[in-house]
Amino acid sequence: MNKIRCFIFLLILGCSVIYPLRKILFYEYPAVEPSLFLFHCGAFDPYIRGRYLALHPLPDSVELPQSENIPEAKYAVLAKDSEGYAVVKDIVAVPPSDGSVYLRIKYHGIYREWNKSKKKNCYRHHFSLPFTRYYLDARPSGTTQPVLKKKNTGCTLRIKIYSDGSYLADGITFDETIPK
Amino acid sequence: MKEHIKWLLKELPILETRNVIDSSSADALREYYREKEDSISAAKAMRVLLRTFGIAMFFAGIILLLSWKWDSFPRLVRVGITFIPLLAALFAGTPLLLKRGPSSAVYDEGTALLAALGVALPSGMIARIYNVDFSLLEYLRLTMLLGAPLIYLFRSSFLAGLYCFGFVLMCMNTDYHGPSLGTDSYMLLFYVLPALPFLLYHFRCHSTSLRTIFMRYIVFLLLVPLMFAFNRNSLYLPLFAGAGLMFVSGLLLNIQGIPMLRNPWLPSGYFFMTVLSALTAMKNNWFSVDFHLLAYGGSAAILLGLFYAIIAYCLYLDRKSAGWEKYTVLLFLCLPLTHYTRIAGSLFLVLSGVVLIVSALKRKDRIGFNAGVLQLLVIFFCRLFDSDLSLLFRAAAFLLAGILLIAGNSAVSRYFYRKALHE
Repeated sequence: MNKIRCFIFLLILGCSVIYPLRKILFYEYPAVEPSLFLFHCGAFDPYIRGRYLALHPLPDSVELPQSENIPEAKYAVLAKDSEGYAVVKDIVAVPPSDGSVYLRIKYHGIYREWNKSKKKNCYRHHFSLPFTRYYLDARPSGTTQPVLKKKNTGCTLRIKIYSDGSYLADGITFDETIPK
Repeated sequence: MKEHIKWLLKELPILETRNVIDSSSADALREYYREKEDSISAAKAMRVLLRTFGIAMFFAGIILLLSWKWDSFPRLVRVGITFIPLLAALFAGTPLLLKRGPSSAVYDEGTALLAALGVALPSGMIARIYNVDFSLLEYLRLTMLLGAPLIYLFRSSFLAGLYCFGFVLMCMNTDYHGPSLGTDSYMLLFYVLPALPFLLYHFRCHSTSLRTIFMRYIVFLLLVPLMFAFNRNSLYLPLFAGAGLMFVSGLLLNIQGIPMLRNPWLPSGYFFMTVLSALTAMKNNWFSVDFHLLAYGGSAAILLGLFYAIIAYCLYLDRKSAGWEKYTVLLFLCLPLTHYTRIAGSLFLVLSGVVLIVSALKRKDRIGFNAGVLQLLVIFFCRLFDSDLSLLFRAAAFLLAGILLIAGNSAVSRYFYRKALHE
C-alpha cells in the first residue's frame, strides 16, 4: 500500500514537471519562428502592483461591416502596419487556417458610431487583448523608475506571437504620450 | 495529558457499572475533564498557529533574500530555482510515504504543503519569467487537478482548506454567458468532486479534534460559492437547497451533542433559511424558479440533485431523533416552486417558528426557543411594518409586540432557570 502511495506521489510530481518543461521548450525552441508585433498601450497603472504593470493594450476595437454582435468571436486576425505595429484585420470564432497570425481576445460588443468622412454609420466591435499585465524586474532600473511614477504616459509592447496563437511579451518601452 | 483524559472518560462508564464510583461523581468527573480537554485543545491550536506563523515568516525571508538578487540571475538559474520546492518535496515526501506506522500530523501537513508548493510554483513562475499567456483560471485548473490527490496521500486538512480556497477563486473567475450555464459551470462541479469525500468524512466525524472542527468550517468554502455561482438566470433553487443542506447538517451534528462553536452549520443554516424566507415573503414572484431556464442549465440541475440527495441522506440519518424542525426543510425547499411567494414565505416562517418553539420547550432548550421567537418576529416585522393598515394601528401593534417580547423573554428565561435549578 505504501509503495502504491509513493508511486502516485512520484507520478504527480512527474506530471507537474511536464507542463513547465513543455512551455520552456516551446518558447526557447519554437518549431515555427514567432512573428514580432508592436502594440501601443494606453495609460498604464503607474503603481506597480506586485511588480507588474497593469496595461491597456491597443487596438481595443475594429471597424467591421457586420452590424450585429459577434458573441462567438474569440480570435483577432492580425497584420502589421508600415512601422511594425499590430493592426486587427478581422475577429473570428475559429482560428484562421490560411496561416494568418492570430491572438485570443475577449469580445465585449458592438457600438454604432457616426463616421464623419463617409457620412454614414459605422459599426465598431470592441474587445480586449490578453496581455493586460507586464512583469517588471524586481527592482526597476534607474531610467525606468521615474517613468513609472509619471501619469499620462503610454508604452509600446513587443510581443512575439506563435503559430498556435500563444504569445510571449518580449519587452516594453515607455513613450512620452498616450497614443490615441 | 490528552490521552490520559480520553482514557479516563472511556473508563468512567465501566467504573460506574461496577459501582466503584456513583453516577454523580462520574458526571462531575466527566464535566471537569471535558472542560480540561477543551482548554488543552485551545492551547494546542494556539501553539500550532504560532509555529505555522514562524515557518511562514522563515520562508518569507528566503523569498525576500532571493528577490534581492533575482534580476542578476540568468533566466536558466531563475527557472532552476522554481524547481527547488519540488525537489525538496520529493526528498521529504518519499520517505514519509514509504514509512510504516503513524507519523506526526504536523510533519504530514508540512510535507503536503511543500509538495503542493512544488507542484504549483514551477507553472506559475514560468509564466512570470517568460511573460507568457497563462490566465489565473488555467493556473487554478492545473494546480488543483494535480494537488487534489496530495490531500489523500498526506491526509492533509490544510491542503483541503487551500483546495477550497482555490475553488472560491475559480468561482470568482468563471464567466457565465447567456441563459444556459456553459461548460465552465460543469467544470466547477467537476472540481468539487475530488475534495468532497475527504471533507465529508471529516465533517461527519465524531471526534472533537481540531482537524474535524476545521473541516466543518472549511466545507463552507465549497458550499457557499456553489450556492451563489449557480444562482443565476432565475435558478434560485441551489441557494435554497444549500441553505436547507446547512440546516439539516447542523441539526444532525447538534443531536450528537456537538456545541455551537464546533458546529457552525446550525446557526448559518438557520440564518440563511430565515433571511431567504423573509425575502420571499416580501413580494410575490421573488425567488420563483423559471423551470424553462432550469431545463436549460443542466449543471445547475446536477448540483441540485447532489444537494437533494445529501439532504435526503441527512434526514434519513436523523430519522430516530425527536423534533419536527428537520421536516420544515422540506417545506422550505418548496418555497421557490410557487409564484405566490408572499403567502408561502409567511406561512413557512410562522410554521417553522412555532415548530422550533414547541420542540425547544419539550427539550428545555433556550436557544431553540429564542430562534423560534425570532422567526415569528421577522415575519411580523416584514408583513406589518409597511402594510396598508393605518399608521396608528401599526404603531400600537409594534409597541405592544415590543413590550410583550421584553416581558415574555424575561419570564421564559426565569422559567428555564427554575427548571434547571429544580433538576
